[in-house]
Amino acid sequence: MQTSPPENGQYMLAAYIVVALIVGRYALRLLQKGWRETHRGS
Amino acid sequence: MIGSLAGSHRVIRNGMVITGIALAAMVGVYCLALLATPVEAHQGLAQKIVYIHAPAAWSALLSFSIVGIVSGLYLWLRDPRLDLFAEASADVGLVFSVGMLTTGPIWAKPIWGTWWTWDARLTLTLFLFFIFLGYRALRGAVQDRAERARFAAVIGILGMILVPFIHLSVYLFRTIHPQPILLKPSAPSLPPEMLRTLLASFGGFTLLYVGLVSVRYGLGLANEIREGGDAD
Amino acid sequence: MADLLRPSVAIAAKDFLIEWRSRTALLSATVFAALVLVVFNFARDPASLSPVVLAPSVLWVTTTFAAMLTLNRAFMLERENEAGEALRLAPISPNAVFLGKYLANLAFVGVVDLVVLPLFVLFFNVDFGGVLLGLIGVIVLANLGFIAVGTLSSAMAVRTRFAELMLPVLLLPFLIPPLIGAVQATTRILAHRPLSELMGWLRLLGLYDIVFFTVCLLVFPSVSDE
Repeated sequence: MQTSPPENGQYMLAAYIVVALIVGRYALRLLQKGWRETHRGS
Repeated sequence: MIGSLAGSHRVIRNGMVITGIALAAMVGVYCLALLATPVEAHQGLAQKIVYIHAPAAWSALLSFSIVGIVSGLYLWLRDPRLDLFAEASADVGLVFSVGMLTTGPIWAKPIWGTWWTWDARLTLTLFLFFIFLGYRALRGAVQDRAERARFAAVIGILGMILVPFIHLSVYLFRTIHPQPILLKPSAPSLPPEMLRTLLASFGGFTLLYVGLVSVRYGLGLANEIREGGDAD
Repeated sequence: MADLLRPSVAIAAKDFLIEWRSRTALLSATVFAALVLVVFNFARDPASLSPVVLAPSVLWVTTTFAAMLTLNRAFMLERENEAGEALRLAPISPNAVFLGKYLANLAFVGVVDLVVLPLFVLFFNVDFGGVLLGLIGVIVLANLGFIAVGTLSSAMAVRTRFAELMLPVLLLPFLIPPLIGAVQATTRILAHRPLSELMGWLRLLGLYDIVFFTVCLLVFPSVSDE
C-alpha cells in the first residue's frame, strides 16, 4: 500500500535554518574572537 | 599556575582548525541530509529534522555531562583550568540545547500534531537547560574567582545527579518520545542510507563540540592569564 | 557521630531561638502561604474546575514557595555582624554547620506547613478523614530531600549579588522530582487509593531524599571553605 508522504517540507527547512543560524553564528563569533585574541598586538 | 599566553593561543588555534573542519563537515552533512537521503514515506520531509535534532541533543548532553564530570574533578583537584573548561563546556552546551529545543517542537508539530508535550525526555532536556542557565547566572553573580569556581562546580555536580531523577519522575508521569532508534540491541530500525546520514551528523556535531569548546576554553584561559596571572 | 550532632543541634537551636524572638520570617512566610492559597482559589474558573481537582497542586505550589522564602533566611542571618565568619572559624566541621542549618530549615518549613495544612483543608474543602497521616507523611518525605538542596543553595545564594533572585533560579529545577512525586502521591491519597498505587512515588521521594541529602552534606565543605 503506497501513500504519498505528507507535505511538510517547510518545517524541515525551518529547522535546518534555525540550527544553522544558532550554531553557525555562535561558531563564527568564537572564531572571530579566537582570531582577534591570537593576532593581538603582533 | 595555569600556563602561558602562548599556550592558550595554541589551544585556540587548534580549536579554530577543528571548528573549521567541523563546519565544513556540517555543510557536507546538510547536503547529505537534504539532497541525498530518501524521504521517509509516512512522516515526509519533516522526518529529516531528526538528522540535526538528535545530534544536537547528543552534543548538548555531552557538554553537560562533561561539565558535571569536570566539576567533580575541580572540587577534588582545585585546578583553575578545570573550572575554565567547565565554563566553556557549559557555554557551548547551552548553544546546542537551544538548537535542540527549537528543532524539537518544529519536528513535533507536523509529526505529533503539537509543538510541545510534557514527555520525559523533553522535560528532562528543558530542565537541563534551566539548570545551566542558573549555572551561568550564578557564575555572573559571584565576585571572588575561587568562590565562583567552587559554587559553579557544586551546581554542576548537583545538576548531573538531578538528571536521572527528573527522567525517572517524568517517565513515571507519562512518555511518548520515540525510543532510541540507533542503540537497539537487535538491528537498527533505520534503512542504511538514513543511518549513514544520521551517523555522519553525529560525527559532525561531536567534532563541532570539540572545536568550539577548545576555542572557548582557550579564550577563557587567555583572559584569565591576562587579567590575573599573578593571582594564582 | 556525636561530634557532628551536638554542634549541629546547637546551631539549629540558636537559629530557632533567634527566629522565635522576632518571628518575622516565620510570620511572613505563613502569611505569604495563606495569601497564595486565597489567590489560587480565585485564579480558577469555579464553574469548570472544582477545588478538589486543583487541591494537590495548590498545596504543593504553596508549600514549596513558602519554603523557599524561609530558606533564604538561614544564611542571611549569618551575614549580620560577620557571624558567618565566626561560624567558619569555630572548631566544628562544616558538615555540622550544614546539618544544623538543615535541621533549622526543616523545623521552620515544618511550622509553615503546619499552618498551611489546616488552612488548605478549610479553603479547599478537603475531606481529610483518614488521609491526614498520609498527607503529613508525604510532606515530610518531600521536604527531607529538597530542603537539603535548598540549604546548600541558600548557602551559595547569600554570597552572590541578587541573593533573593538567585535562590529560586538555582533551586526550582531541583524541586521538579519531589514536586511531581508529592503531587502524584497527594492526588492518590486524597482519592483514597490503596497504598500500592503510591509506592512507586514514595520510593522516588525516598531515593531523592537519601541521594541529595548525602551529596549535599558531602559537598557543603567546598561551599563554605576559604
